[in-house]
Amino acid sequence: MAPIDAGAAALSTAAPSPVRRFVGWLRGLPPGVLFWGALTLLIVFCLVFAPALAPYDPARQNLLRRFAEPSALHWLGTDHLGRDVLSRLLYGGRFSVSITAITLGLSVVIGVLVGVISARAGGWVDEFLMRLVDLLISFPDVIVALFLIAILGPGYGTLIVALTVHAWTPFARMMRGLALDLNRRDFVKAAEILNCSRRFIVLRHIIPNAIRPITAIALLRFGHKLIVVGGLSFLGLGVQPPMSDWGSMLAESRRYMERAPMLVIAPGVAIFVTALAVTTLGQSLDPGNRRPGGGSRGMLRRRKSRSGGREG
Amino acid sequence: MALLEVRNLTVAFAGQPAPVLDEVDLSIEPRETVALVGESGSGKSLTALSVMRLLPRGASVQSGSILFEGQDVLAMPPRRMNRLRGGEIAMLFQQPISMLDPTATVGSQVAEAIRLHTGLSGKAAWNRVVELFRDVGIPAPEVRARSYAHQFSGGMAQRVMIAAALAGGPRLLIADEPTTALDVTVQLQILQLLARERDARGLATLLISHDLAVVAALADRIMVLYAGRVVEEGTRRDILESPEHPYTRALVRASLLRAEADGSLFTIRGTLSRDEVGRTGCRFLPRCATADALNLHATCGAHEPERSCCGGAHHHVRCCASGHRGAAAAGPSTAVAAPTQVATPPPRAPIVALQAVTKRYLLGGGLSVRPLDGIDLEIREREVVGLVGESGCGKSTLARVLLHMTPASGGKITIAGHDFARLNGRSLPALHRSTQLIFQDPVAALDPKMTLGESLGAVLLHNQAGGATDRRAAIIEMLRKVGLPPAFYERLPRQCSGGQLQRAVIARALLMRPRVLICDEPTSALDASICAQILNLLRQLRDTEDLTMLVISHGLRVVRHLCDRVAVMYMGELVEIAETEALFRNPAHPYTQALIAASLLEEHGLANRMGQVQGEPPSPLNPPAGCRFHTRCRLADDHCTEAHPTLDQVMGAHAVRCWHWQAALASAAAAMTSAPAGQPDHVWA
Repeated sequence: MAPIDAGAAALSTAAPSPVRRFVGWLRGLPPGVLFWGALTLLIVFCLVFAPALAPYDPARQNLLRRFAEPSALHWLGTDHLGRDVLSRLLYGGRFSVSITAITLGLSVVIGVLVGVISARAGGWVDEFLMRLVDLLISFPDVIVALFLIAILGPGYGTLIVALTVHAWTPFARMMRGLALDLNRRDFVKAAEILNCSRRFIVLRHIIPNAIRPITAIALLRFGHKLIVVGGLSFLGLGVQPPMSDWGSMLAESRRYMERAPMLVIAPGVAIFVTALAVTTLGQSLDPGNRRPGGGSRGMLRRRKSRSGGREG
Repeated sequence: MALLEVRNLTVAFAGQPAPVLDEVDLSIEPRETVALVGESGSGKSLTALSVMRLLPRGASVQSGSILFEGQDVLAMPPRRMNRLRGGEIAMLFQQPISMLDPTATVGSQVAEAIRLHTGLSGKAAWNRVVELFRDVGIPAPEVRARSYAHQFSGGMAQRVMIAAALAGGPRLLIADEPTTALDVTVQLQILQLLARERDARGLATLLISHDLAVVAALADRIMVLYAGRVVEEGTRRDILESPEHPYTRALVRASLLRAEADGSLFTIRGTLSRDEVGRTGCRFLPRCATADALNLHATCGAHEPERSCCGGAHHHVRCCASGHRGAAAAGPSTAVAAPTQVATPPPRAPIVALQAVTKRYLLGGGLSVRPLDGIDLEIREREVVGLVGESGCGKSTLARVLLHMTPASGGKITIAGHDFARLNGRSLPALHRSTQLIFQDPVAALDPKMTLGESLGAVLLHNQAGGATDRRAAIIEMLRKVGLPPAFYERLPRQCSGGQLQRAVIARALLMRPRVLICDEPTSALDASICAQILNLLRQLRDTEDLTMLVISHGLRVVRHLCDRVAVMYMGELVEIAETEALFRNPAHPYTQALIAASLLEEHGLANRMGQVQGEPPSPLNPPAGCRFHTRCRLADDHCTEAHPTLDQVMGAHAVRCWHWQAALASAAAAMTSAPAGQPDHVWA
C-alpha cells in the first residue's frame, strides 16, 4: 500500500540505438557477470574452435617424445603415449563441457515443463509429478547414472540420458514454486480475467518471469555436473579411447603423476576453472544473491550490513 | 537549543551528479512535532535516514551537519551511534510486521531493546515490556508479549513497534509514514496513541507522511519538500490556512479530494520526476499553474528562488511568485462535493443484482469463515456504487466473486445478463467481456517483462479479430483516452510512474469494452496528487464509456467524490447503504459514523466527537452473536448481543442494519452541530 515511486517516471522518450542499448544493458549487469561471463565465453570459444586452435591431432602418438616437458613445441608437454596435452585438453573439453551443457539444457526444458504443468494443473497431476520428483531425488545422481550406464552401455548419448534422468528434478521443483508464486500475482490473475489463453499465460507471463532464477540455478549446478561427468569418464564410463576428455585424461595419467605432474594438473585445472567460471557467473546472475542497490556481494558482507540495519 | 538541528544537509547517490536532498535545513525543539510532507521521491524518508545514519547503499551525505543536542551525529563513533539509535532517537516505520523478527516473541524483541538501552534485564525487563504494552493499548499484554509477529494485525504490530520505540526512553521519535499501511479506523487509533504518548513523555517528533490530513492532526510545524528542496515551511496554520508556494497550495487543495465547480477534483498536473532534481530554476516550474497564469516561465526558469520570509515569523517559502496568491485559485473551490447530477436521473434498469450472496471457506476441523454473508445489492446502469469497510470485511472477496475468480457458495448473482447459476467455462469469457477489474496495485497488475503495448495487445489478441496494425491503432487510441501519449506503447512498467501505470491498467480493462467496472482500491497505492487524477479519469470514463462501477475502498474519502451510492460493509454483511450525500450528512450506523470520522481527518481531527470504534474487528472464525458490531459499538446494549438486526430501509433509499439507528443519528447530529471552537475543523482553506 506504499505510495508508488513517482520518481521512476519520465525516461527519455527517444529510442536509443541498438548498440547503445546493448552497452547500457552491459553496464547494468552486476559487476561479476562481465568478468566470469567473458571467461566462460572464452572457454566455449576455445572448445568450439578446437580443431583450428589445437596444434596437433589429439590421438597422434609419438612414442619418441613421451613425457615431454612443456616447451614451445608442446605448450603443456606430452603424455605417456607422446600425445600433445594441449590438443587433448582442447578436444577433451568439447566432450565434457558439451555433455554437461546438453544435460543441463535438457534438464531445464524438462524441469520447466514439469514444474509449470504441476503448478497449473494442481490436483492429482501435481501430486503424481511431485512424488516422482521426490522418488528420483532420493537417489544420489551418480548411482542413478551408474545404473543406467550399466544397462545401456557407455557412450555419448547414454551419458546424457543417464545424467538427465536425475538432473531435471530440482528444476521441476523450483519451477513449480516459482509458477505457484506467479499464479498468485495480479498480472496473471489479470490475464485470466482478460480471457488470455492458458498457453499465452504460461509462455508469455510465467516462463519469462521465472527463467532468470532457473538459469542462475542451472549455471550453479554446471560445475557439479562437470565434475560428475569427469568422474564417470575417470571410471571409464564416458568417452572411449582414443578420444579424450578431462576425466579420462586424469584417470590415465594418475599413474605417471610423479613423473609428469602436468598431466594431472592440466585437466584438473581445466575442470576447476570451467566449473568456477560458470558457477560464479550463475551466482552473480542469481537474483536472490543480489540486493537492490548494486551488484552481487559475498555472504559475509551481506550479513554484516544487515545486522547493523534495524534499530528498535 | 534545538534538540535536532540539521543544517544544509545535502545527500547524493553515487554516480548521480544532482543531489537528492539539497541543502535541507530542519530544526526540532524539545516537545515539538515537525512534519515533513511531500510526494514519493521528494526525499523525505532520506532526511530521516540521514539523521539515523542509515542511508541506503550508494547514498552519502555530501555536506551539511546534523546536531543532536549539540553533538555532531555525522562524526559519532559507531558505539555512540548505536546508543543514539533506538536510545535517544527512536524510529517507526511504515511496515511494522516486516520490522519484527518472525522467529522470536515480540516481547523478547522489545525486552532486548530495553536491555540494550536501559540496562534492565531478566524479570525486570520483562515487567517493563508488559508495562509498555499496556501503555500502548495492547489487550492482555502478559499473553500478547509471548506471541509472535504473525499473530498480530498491522495495527497491533505498529503498537508493538511504538512500545519498542518507547523502550529506550527516547527524546526524539522519527515516524516514517507510521499509519500509511493501516486501515483508517486503526490509523486514527494509532495517531491518537502517538499524540498521547508524545504529550505524556514530552517527546519531540519528526513525522513523515505524504498525507496532509495525518500531518495536520499531529504537527506543530510543517515542512514541504519537493524534489529534495524545502519549498515551504511554517506552523500548521501557516501551511494549511495560508500556503504561499503554488505546490503547497495545490497539495492542500488536492488532498481534500473535494469537487471543484465543474464537478471534477483539483489535481496537480504531471508527476514529480527524478529529472527535476538538478534543474536550474524552480524545480516545480513544469507543474506550476501560477507560473502559467502570471507568465513567469522565463523568470522562474532562470534561477532558483531564494528562501524568503512571509507572514508569520516561522513561515518561509522558496518561490518567485509568492504574493501572487490569487492566480492559482483560478477556479473557485466549493467546500462541499457538488453533486453533478442535480436533476434526478431517470430510473434505470439494474445491471448488477446480488441476492443473499454468500461465500464460505471451510478450514477443516469443522471451522469455516464467511467473508460474504447474505449480500443483497443492486446496481443500476451507469451508477457508481462505493463499497467501504476495513480490511478483512469481505469487500475484496465480493470483487473476486463478481468476476467469478472464485465461485459464490450461495445466493443469486446476475451481471449484465449473465446469470452465475448458468455460468460455465464457455460463457466465462463473455462475462469477462462485460465485467472488468481495476487492481489496487498497478505495478503488480502489469507483467514487468512486457511493454505496455504488449500487455494491452494481449487483450485484443484474445478477444477480438484484427491484424497487428489494427491492434496497435486501437491500443494507442485507448492510451490516449486514459491520458497517455503513444510513446507509452513501447515502455516497460518500470519506466512509468504509479499513476501512469494505473492509467494503463484502466486502458487494458476498457479494451474489453466492459459495461461494469469493478475498482478494487484504485488509488490506495498512489500519491495524493495522483489519486485525484485517477478519480477524475474514472469519473470522466463513466460518462464517455457508459460504465457502471463498483468502487471498493477502505476509507470514505475516495468514494465521496466518485460514487452515487455508498454501501458500508462489516464482517461480511452490508450494514448501511445510502445515496452518498445522505450517508455523509446522516450516517445512521455507528460504524459508518466512525468510518467517516476516521476517513475525514481534516474535518474531524483527532477529537472523538462522532463516536469511534475501539480495537479491531473480532475474529471472523467466531463472529459475535447478535449484531456483529456490538463488540466495538458505543451504543450496544443487551438486546444487541442477542438479536441480529436486519438491513431495513429507514429513509427512502437509506437502509441500515442497527437496532439503535435513531439514537445514533441523533447523537451524530448533535456532535456535528456542537463542534467546540478551536478544533482544527476548518483550518483547511
